[in-house]
Parts: sequence; C-alpha cells; structure tokens
Amino acid sequence: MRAAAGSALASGLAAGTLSCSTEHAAGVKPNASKIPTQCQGCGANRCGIYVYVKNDRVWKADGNPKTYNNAGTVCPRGHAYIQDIYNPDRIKQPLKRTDKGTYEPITWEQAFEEISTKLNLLIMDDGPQSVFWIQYPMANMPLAFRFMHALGSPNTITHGATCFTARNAAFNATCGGLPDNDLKNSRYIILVGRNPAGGVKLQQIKDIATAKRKGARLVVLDPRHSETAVMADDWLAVRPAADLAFLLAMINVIIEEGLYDHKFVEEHTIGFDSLRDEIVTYPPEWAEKICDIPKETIYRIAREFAGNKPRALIHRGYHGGYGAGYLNSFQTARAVAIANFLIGNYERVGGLFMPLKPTLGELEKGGHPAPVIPDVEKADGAGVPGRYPTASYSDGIAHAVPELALAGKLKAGFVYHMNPVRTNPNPARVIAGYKKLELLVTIDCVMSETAALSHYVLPESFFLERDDHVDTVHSGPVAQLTMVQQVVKPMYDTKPLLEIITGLSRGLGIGKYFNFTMDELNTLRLKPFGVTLDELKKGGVIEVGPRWEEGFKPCKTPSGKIEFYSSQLEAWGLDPMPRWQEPLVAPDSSDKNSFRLLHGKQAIHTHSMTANVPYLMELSSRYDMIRLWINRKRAEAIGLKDGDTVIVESDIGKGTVRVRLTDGLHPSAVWMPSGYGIFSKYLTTAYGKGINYNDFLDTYFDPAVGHVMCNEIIVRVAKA
Amino acid sequence: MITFYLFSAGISAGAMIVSIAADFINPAKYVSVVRAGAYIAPFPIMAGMVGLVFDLERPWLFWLLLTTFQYKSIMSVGAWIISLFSGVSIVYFIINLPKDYLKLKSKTGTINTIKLLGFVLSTCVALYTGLLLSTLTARPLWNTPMIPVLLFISAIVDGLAAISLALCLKRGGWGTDIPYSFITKVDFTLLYFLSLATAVFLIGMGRSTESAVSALAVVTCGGFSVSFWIGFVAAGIVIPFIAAAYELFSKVKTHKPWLSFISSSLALLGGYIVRSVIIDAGQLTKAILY
Amino acid sequence: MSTNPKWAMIIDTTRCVGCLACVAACHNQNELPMTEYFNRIEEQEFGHFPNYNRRFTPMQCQHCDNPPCVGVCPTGASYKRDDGIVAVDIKKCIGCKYCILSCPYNARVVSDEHGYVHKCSFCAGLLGKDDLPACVVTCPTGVRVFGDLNNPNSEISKLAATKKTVQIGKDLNTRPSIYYIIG
Ligand SMILES: Nc1nc2c(c(=O)[nH]1)N[C@H]1C(S)=C(S)[C@@H](COP(=O)(O)OP(=O)(O)OC[C@H]3O[C@@H](n4cnc5c(=O)[nH]c(N)nc54)[C@H](O)[C@@H]3O)O[C@H]1N2
Ligand SMILES: Nc1nc2c(c(=O)[nH]1)N[C@H]1C(S)=C(S)[C@@H](COP(=O)(O)OP(=O)(O)OC[C@H]3O[C@@H](n4cnc5c(=O)[nH]c(N)nc54)[C@H](O)[C@@H]3O)O[C@H]1N2
Ligand code: SF4
Ligand code: SF4
Ligand code: SF4
Ligand code: SF4
Ligand code: SF4
Ligand SMILES: [Mo]
Repeated sequence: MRAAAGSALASGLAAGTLSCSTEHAAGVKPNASKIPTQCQGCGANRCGIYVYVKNDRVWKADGNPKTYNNAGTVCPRGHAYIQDIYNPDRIKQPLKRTDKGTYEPITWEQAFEEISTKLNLLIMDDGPQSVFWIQYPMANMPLAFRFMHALGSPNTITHGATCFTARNAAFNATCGGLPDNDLKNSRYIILVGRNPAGGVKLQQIKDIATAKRKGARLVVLDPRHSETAVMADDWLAVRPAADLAFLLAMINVIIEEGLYDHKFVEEHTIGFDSLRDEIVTYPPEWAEKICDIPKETIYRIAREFAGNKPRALIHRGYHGGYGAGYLNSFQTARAVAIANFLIGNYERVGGLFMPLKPTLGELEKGGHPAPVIPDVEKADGAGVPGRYPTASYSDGIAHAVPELALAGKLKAGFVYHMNPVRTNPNPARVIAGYKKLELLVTIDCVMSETAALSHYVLPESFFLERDDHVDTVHSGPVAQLTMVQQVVKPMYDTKPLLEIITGLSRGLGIGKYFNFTMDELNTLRLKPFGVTLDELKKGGVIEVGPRWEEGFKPCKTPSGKIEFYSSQLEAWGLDPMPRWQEPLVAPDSSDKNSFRLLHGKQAIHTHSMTANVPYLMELSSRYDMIRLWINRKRAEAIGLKDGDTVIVESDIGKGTVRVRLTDGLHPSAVWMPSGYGIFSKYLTTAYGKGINYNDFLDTYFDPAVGHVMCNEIIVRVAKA
Repeated sequence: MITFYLFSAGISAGAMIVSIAADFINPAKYVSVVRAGAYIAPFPIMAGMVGLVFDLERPWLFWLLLTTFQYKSIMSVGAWIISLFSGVSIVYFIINLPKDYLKLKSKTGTINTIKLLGFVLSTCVALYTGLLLSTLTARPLWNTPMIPVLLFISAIVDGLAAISLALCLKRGGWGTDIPYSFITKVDFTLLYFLSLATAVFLIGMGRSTESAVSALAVVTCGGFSVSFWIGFVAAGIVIPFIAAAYELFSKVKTHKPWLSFISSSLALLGGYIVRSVIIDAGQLTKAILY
Repeated sequence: MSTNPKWAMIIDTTRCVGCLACVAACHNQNELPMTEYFNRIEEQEFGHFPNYNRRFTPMQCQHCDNPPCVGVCPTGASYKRDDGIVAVDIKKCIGCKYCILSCPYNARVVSDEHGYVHKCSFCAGLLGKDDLPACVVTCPTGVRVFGDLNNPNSEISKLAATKKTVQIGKDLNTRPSIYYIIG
C-alpha cells in the first residue's frame, strides 16, 4: 500500500522536493516537500510523522509506517496541531512580568542575565535543593536532569502523580517494571478503564482492531461506554472505584477453579500460597454487590480469560481506571498485574511483555563530563521510606510543588512543557503555591495558565521549528530511535530548549556542562548504535538492537520473580497483597443530586494544551462535545433534559456546563471531558469554554504513591 | 429570494393563463380581464429573475445558464422556458395595447399562434415552479407529485387575484364594465380545487414514509405551523373562498370592490406564504437514511 | 488498479470509534476553511443501561452511480467520471446551490471564498498511483477500505465478496459507491 520511508525519501530530500510519483503516501502534491519528524500533539505518544511543506507553508501530516506508537496513522490532534505553528496566540519573544502583572517583551540576553542573577542569590541563601524543574517527560528530559544536577538539585519532577504513578508503582512491585501489551496477538483482551480510542494510543487501537478481525474477544470494564467499547463484545458498566472487587473475584475464580498456569506459578512467582489463602474471601457472590457486575458475568469472564491463556491479557492500563484515581488504585493495579501473571502471560506472545528500550550513548565519550547526581532526598519525598516509598524518584510528585512552595521548602522553579496550574488539582491552591515562589520561569510556546503567573516566560521554538534530543519513546518489541526534526524556519524570536539552558548555564557558572550543539549531542547519543544522525533524520526512525523474544526473563524485583506477595511493600507498611479497600469518598445515596465526578480524554484534545487549537475547538462545538455526561434515568429524576445547563458543585469548586443524557454511563457518576476549562485569558480560542475536573478536586496525596486520587470527587448536579 | 422568484413566476404565468383563457371564451365581454392579465404578465417574473441571478453565489456567471441546455435539469430547462415566456409575454403585452404598434391586429394567424404559445409556455412555467422542488428525492417535503399541482393551482389563483386587484384599482376597467361575476366564479372554482389539493397533500404525506411524516410535521406543528395554518390555509384559501361564496350566493347583487380587494390581497398573501413555508421548511427536511 | 478503474469505498462502522482523525485529515488534505467539511461522523445510541451500544457512521459524498446532484445541475458543472467519481467543474459552477438541495447525504458545501460548490472528491488528485485518500490512510482502526472494484484482486473487491454490506439510502435509487458494514 505505502512504501516505507527510507530510500525513496532520501533521494526525495536530496532532490529538495518530492514529486508524487516517487512516494506512496496520502496525496503528495507536486513540489510539496516531505520531512520526517515527531508529532508533539501529545507528549504521551510522540508519533513518527512526515510533515509536508508547500511553498514554505506547513500543509499536512502523514503517519510514519515504521514508528511503533502510531504505525502509519495520525490522530485528529496530530493533523490539527501542525497548523498551530500559525496560532496568533504564540509567544513571539521572551517576556518579563511587570509589577502591574502584565508582560513586557525583553531580549534573550536580558532574560538569561536577570534569571541567572536572581537564581544565584536564591541558591546562596537557600541552597540548590530549593530549586525545582517540572515538565512532561519529553525527549529533552535528559537536558533538564543535566541542568538540575549541575545546579546541585535533585528536584526534577514530571506530571506522573497526576497521571499514572499508582499503576507504575504496582507493576514495579509485582514484576519490577512496566510491561507492554501484545494486543495484536492476543485472543482475549480486557480493558479496565483504558480507552485507547479517546486516551489515544494509535498502535493500541489499531492492534485491538486487528486482533478483533482475527477473532479475539474484547471486554471493556468502564462505568462509561467508552469509544473503544464500540468494538467490545462485552461492556461491563462497573461501579466507579469498584474495579478492585471485580478483579479480586476474577482471581478468586481463577485460583479456586485451578484455571491458572500451574507451571508458571510454580517456577516464576512467589507468594502464591498466601494469595490463595487470602483470596477465598472474595468470591463473585461478594463482589457483585460492590461492583454491580452480576456474579454469573464475573465467572464467565474469569473462565474465558483463563481459558485463552497465555494469549489473554488485562491491559496494563494508563490513567482512567487506576492510574491516579482512587485511594484503592495502587491495590487495583496490583490486582491487574496479579490476575495477568496468574495465567502465565508474562513475556508471552499475546500477553504482556517487557518493551525493549535503547540506552543512549554517554556524553562523557565526547569529553563532556556528567554532573554528579546530588545525594539529597527529593523535596517531595518520592521514593523516600516513611514518606512516599513506592513513588518513583524520577517522576516525583507534581502537585506537592505548591505545598512545598507554601512551606518555604521550594523557592524557585522552571516549568517546561507542562501546565501544572491547569492540570493539577485545586487551582486556587496551586496558584497560591506557585505565586509564593520567588522565581518562576516557564518555558512554553503559548501563555498557559502557568506561564501567565510566571516572572519570566521563555518561548521555545514550535516543534516544527527545532531539533530535539534523540528519543526512545517508541520502544516495543524492538527498540526504536526517533527525533523531533526541524521542518520550517522559526517564525519568531524563539529558541529550542538546549539553547535556552545553555544561555542560562553561562551566568549560573555551569556553562562547562553545556558546551555542545544539538547535533553534537545527538551524534554522541547515537554512537553506540553505529547509526549516523543523517540516517535518523532521513528515515525519521531507526530500529536498533534485537527483537523481543518470548520467554521468561528475571524480574527486577527483590526476588527476581513475579511477586504476588511483596515483602518490600510489607516492610514499607503497605498491604503486601491486594485486599479490598473502600474508596476515599462515595456519593450520598440519599441525595438525588449527588454523583461521583469522573473525567476522561476525547480523541480531539490533549489535557490542557489543545483547547486553544482553533480547529480542534471548532470540532468540539460542531459535535457538541463540551458536555457533562449523565445517566438518563438519574438526569430525568432531577428534571434534566438533554442539552440543559447544570450547576456542578463540590466542596472546593463550582461551575456550569451543559449535559449529555445517555444510557452509556453508570448511574452513580457523571463524566466530564477533561480537555476544557482554560482560564488563561491569553488563550483567546479556549478561554472560558467549558469547565475542568481539577476545579472540583481537593488536594490529596495517596498514602502509598502520593498520587492525586483524581476521581475521589463528589459533586452535586442541579439544573441551572 | 427563491420564494419571491417562485411567487412572481406564479403570478405572471397565472395572469397570462387567465388572460388568454378569458380571451378564448369571450374577447369582447372580458376585454378588461384579458388586458389586465396581459399588462401584468411580463413584469413580476422579470423582477423574480433578476432576484434569482443575485441569489447565485457567482452571479457574474449566470450567462452559463443560457449557453448550456441540460435536458435532465429542471432548472436548466426552466431557465429556457422562462426566457421564452418573458419574450412571448412582452409581445402579448404589446399586442394587447390599444394602439397597434406591431401592425399585427390584422394578422389573426400570427396573433393566435402567439396566444397559443403564450398559453403553453405559461402553463409550463406554472408547473415548473413546483416540479423544480418535487423532483428532489432528498427533500421529503417536496418530493411529492402534489407539490406541482398545489403550486400550479395556486399560481392561477394568484394570477387571477392580481388581475382583480388591478381592476379594483383601475376603476372602470377598459372599455366595457368589469365582469366581476366571471372573476368570482373562476375564483370560487379555483379555490375549491386548491383546498382539495392542499387536503390531498396533507393526508397523502401524513400517511407516507417516516421521512415524509416527520417532514410534514415541520410544516404543520413545527415552527412554520402558524404561517401555514393562518397565513396560507386561513388567509389564502378559506377567507377568499367564503368571500367568493358570499358574492355568488348572496341576494344583494351589487358588487363590493373593497371586498374583492381584500380577498384578492389575502389570496396573494397566502400564495406568497405557502411558497415561503414550503421552501424554507423543505430545506430543513432530510430523508431518513438509516 | 485496472485499466478502467471503478473507485469505491467500504466503511466498516463496527470498527469506527468516532475519533475524527479522518475529518481532520480531509481538512488538511483539501486545505479547507474551518467551517467547511467534506466528511463527518454521525453518532447513534441504542438500548438502555446497561444493555447499550453506540454506532459511529462516517458520512461523505457517496459518489452515486445515479447522482441526483448531477441530474439537477443546470450548467453541467457537476458530472460523473468514467472511474465512478462524481466531480464538480468549478469553472462551470454558478453557485445556484440546487445540487446541495438535491443531495440526500448533505455531502456538498458552498466554498465561502470562491462561491462554487465543492465536496469529497475521493481525493481524486491522489489516485492512479498507489496513493490512498487521506481519510483512509489516517484511520487507526482500518474502518475505510478504498480501491478499484473493477480489479478483482484489489483489497476492496475481496472484502466486498466476503462481507455483507449495505448502501445507505438505497431506496432513493442513488446507487452509492460507498458500501457500509453495519454490525
Ligand atoms: N486524545 C488524547 N489522547 C491521549 C491523551 C490526551 O490528552 N488526549 N493523553 C495521553 C495520556 S498522558 C494518558 S495518561 C492517556 C490516558 O488514557 P486512558 O486512561 O485510557 O484515558 P482516560 O480518558 O483518562 O480514561 C479512560 C477511561 O477510564 C474510565 N474510568 C474512569 N473512572 C473509572 C473507574 O473507576 N473504573 C474504570 N474501569 N474505568 C474508569 C473513563 O470513563 C474513561 O473512559 O491518554 C493518552 N492519550
Ligand atoms: N485539565 C486537565 N488536567 C489533567 C489532565 C487532563 O486531561 N486535563 N490529564 C492528567 C494527565 S493523564 C496528565 S498526563 C497530565 C498532563 O499534564 P500537562 O503536561 O501539564 O498537560 P498539557 O496540557 O499537555 O501541558 C503541556 C504544556 O506544554 C506546552 N507545550 C506544548 N508544546 C510545547 C513545546 O513544544 N515546547 C514547550 N516548551 N511547551 C510546549 C503546552 O502549551 C502546555 O502548556 O495532566 C493531568 N491533569
Ligand atoms: S497521538 Fe496524535 S497527538 Fe499524540 S503524538 Fe500521535 S498523532 Fe500526535
Ligand atoms: S478515523 Fe476511522 S475510526 Fe476515526 S472516526 Fe474516522 S473512520 Fe472512524
Ligand atoms: S452523495 Fe450527494 S453529492 Fe455525492 S454523488 Fe451522491 S448526490 Fe451527489
Ligand atoms: S451549484 Fe454549481 S454544481 Fe451545484 S447545481 Fe448549481 S451550478 Fe451545478
Ligand atoms: S476521500 Fe478525500 S476528500 Fe473524500 S472525505 Fe476522504 S479525505 Fe476527504
Ligand atoms: Mo497521562
């Protein structure tokens, strides 16, 4: 159908432009040049794409058929986001906050000068560990580590605690890492609060469709009829926060009926006996009352699942079901892992497997000494016994920043490619915290809510205008290297991150750590693989190392085995085995207006960053998608009609939104699309359209992982 | 705009039909009607055509309509018919002037051909406005044979109304006194058929496919219901019908101009409203496909 | 591709997750202004909680073999190509919008900028090579299969032979070139 990029592309680029005849992609018009790069429409996937440029203007994008995360396809955001290079709301030069709270343009020199002077003083008084850097972990993350470590601060933080840390911690405890799903070859797929059609991962939705065509069965466990559920054989409308009960009952059936993989359990796991003794208390008869799924169904699903072993899997999950949702999310994720491994689908075709990730070349090899990693505890207590032991050191705890700032533990911070003021819970609290900082520098392309309260805003060049650090995000059955590559000339006085950090490092006395260009850096990163930067830039993706092969490999757990029972967790004072645990809050069953507030992704929006993309917002209104989902019966009981405006109110927030009445949602919950509610007045398209779940979510730290517990929200919904 | 165009075309065609018909029956007795019709016919439709051209998204290309003939396209065929009609209606207008400009009065053969031609063309025009809509399978409200019938009768009603209106204004008529009773009789008959056609249209649609039923609902109960029931049915049919009936059957045989003035104005109003309702509502209706 | 291709599309609604990637792809491909669309997704809901399902149905010009839009066009601007594609010759289009009224699938829009009417062209510009329509290439679940029905070995011919498909609005006698798989 479509020739892989490679050689044809090389000749094409050599010729400067490509004519239709040499390529096989969707509609190459004559003299449109085609350049491989990475989509940055969402940090999560960074799909390999070709961007077409026609008379110096960005025209369209096609998927790179070779890249793992998207396999030749592009999602709606990907198509729309390339056009955002022309968004009038882009920041066109460095900005400095005035006393009046407005922003005045300044030169890069002045910005570097003033920021480093201020930072030096702060570090003198409070030490380097009072400085933090927070970002979504993009390919450039290593630059941030290098910068912060050079300064002497351990406080590099990602969005993780608002997204997935419960899941990651649970899989770490169980099998020593986060496995991937071999959906394509699976015969039986269970999605527990995972919706790759809305929380898009193109490869996953594509592989699910492929598996279905090959006769696989798909079970979707979700209080809401997700977009993926359209393809499902079973939609199980589980009661929110009750997945743990369903999973414990599944495990119960699998063990009681001896459906597990005895050999695998015998050889590669520890703690089975304790698990068997414990699990008898959780039969489907018990679970059905909690999770609202009939016991017959639980028996059937458990048997079908185990019956297809080892080519059956429960998707590892992401955000929605148990990423950072509930008090019991960590144990729910543990149960997911255990239910999977009981049927021996670990490192198996059609089951779960450990993705292959390339380790990039060291800069030392090029004579650029690495700064020592400061051995001080992270301010947020991530990975610190007694605080948040299971939280990962590299992710940290994003929403701890405002608290630490208010406590005077953090004084200065850099925000890169992240918008915590809109994407962290309890805006009022977050704003108070970030305002307390004595120096806040945000590096963004537009005036996000966070940028709009920073002392300095440094505009990074749009991704189509720059080269980034070589990326390893496309890692699956084979390790892939990809990168963001410049496609067009920068439109404004903006810089790529490396130049910004380099500019800052001079005045901070750490210039010696940043004395290389992006090309030199990337060349060194590629050295171990014996591929040149040119090859990568021409192909857009390069596969390195061996392909994944079936077969057990020792786990990175203390025992080297799958740990059903974790002494590690026990030592930290946590349940060593999943036990039923109530969620933190529950809707008031005596109140007709009381609901749990759920949220989720729509395929056309990324978190807080695309509501301001004019075309995507046009789709939102054209398809009337800025609406709160509510169960039809419950809605009618409180006198609501489809399209009515309601007032939504929680202990900390209040807002109005229109409703969508549907039979596709559990009666106990309302569901809010999570891409709206932008309140930065600089974002002219998105400003004031819709509301966001963070407006209603109080500041919580789950005791095990420190995540946000973003579904522990009770709201009252009433006709406006 | 389309409404205005269909409406004006209707009046012209109607006026022409009535005029020529009257001329066949009894030129001497009904000369006022013949002439009034002839004097009215050319103008509304021309105004309508100008309006239509400016309703195009690319008016400057309207001439393309007359450099192609698409026999399948009602609109293309219609464009030609209307052009011819306009031509003939002007000639017909001139030969009906008191003075014999074209030196034709003697040539009865030519005159008769013109009249014949005029009658045929005006009939086509009156039918065309309805066919333009009824052939669109995509719009259930329009896609019924009753639409052309309805609009055809309505066109003649409008034409006649226009004539009697003109005669009310030009008291005394032309030469002989005005044959009110003739007008009223014709009017009465036409309105009778128009109400039948409307009834059949409503019942037929109401008993038809899901698409048709929901389409009809837009007109009868939807946002258009007021204009339809009051504007068209009441003002356009019932009241003029009663008026005509009163004239015909009441003992007092003296004609009341104000009455026919009102009833013909109402008839015209109804004619306009029914078209606007059908046009606007029809565009909203779409075939239910799956 | 055969020497006299007959372009057609099979749309498998049982795999459509309504992501709108095809809509956005079409938009870029044809450089359309924000408010003009050649394709769209229609959503339907069935049943009552918890026995409930949804269907997303991609809609666009059906490239009818008996296209009303062509019949009604007074200038011949709308025409049917030998390869099955229904096209608009923008030089001849006077913008009377009659074709828009005639299309049962609401597939046509007026170009705000130029005044002519345009619509899905099956990405005609791309065909003849191995290229595929933008909406087909971008679809993550492979809902859309495009190809030459006159070529017995084409993916679409094979699928058409094995799967039960329906033409939407068949009884309007439009004879669409898009065939739907509706579960
Ligand atoms: N379009 C788009 N795609 C994205 C992103 C984006 O912003 N936009 N972001 C990327 C990122 S960072 C992430 S983390 C992923 C998120 O990917 P997902 O986690 O799959 O997406 P969500 O929409 O957060 O949640 C999925 C489903 O969880 C359901 N859910 C909510 N509460 C519960 C519960 O208690 N139990 C169960 N079983 N289900 C529940 C919701 O109804 C929703 O349908 O998406 C990635 N892809
Ligand atoms: N409101 C809301 N909050 C959420 C979620 C949600 O869906 N909605 N989802 C939760 C989840 S799952 C996650 S993963 C987190 C994500 O949390 P965030 O990462 O904070 O979410 P984004 O909205 O993606 O923020 C990306 C920021 O980077 C900026 N940006 C985009 N491109 C570039 C670039 O090229 N360079 C630079 N320097 N900046 C750029 C955008 O303008 C935006 O300000 O949010 C969590 N919280
Ligand atoms: S999923 Fe969509 S937005 Fe995210 S990187 Fe891929 S194409 Fe871009
Ligand atoms: S891209 Fe495919 S799945 Fe998405 S809406 Fe279009 S047809 Fe449906
Ligand atoms: S779908 Fe509409 S526009 Fe396309 S060919 Fe059929 S009638 Fe014409
Ligand atoms: S708008 Fe153009 S294409 Fe459509 S019918 Fe009129 S002339 Fe033909
Ligand atoms: S075939 Fe081309 S023009 Fe038609 S909908 Fe698909 S992308 Fe748009
Ligand atoms: Mo996330």
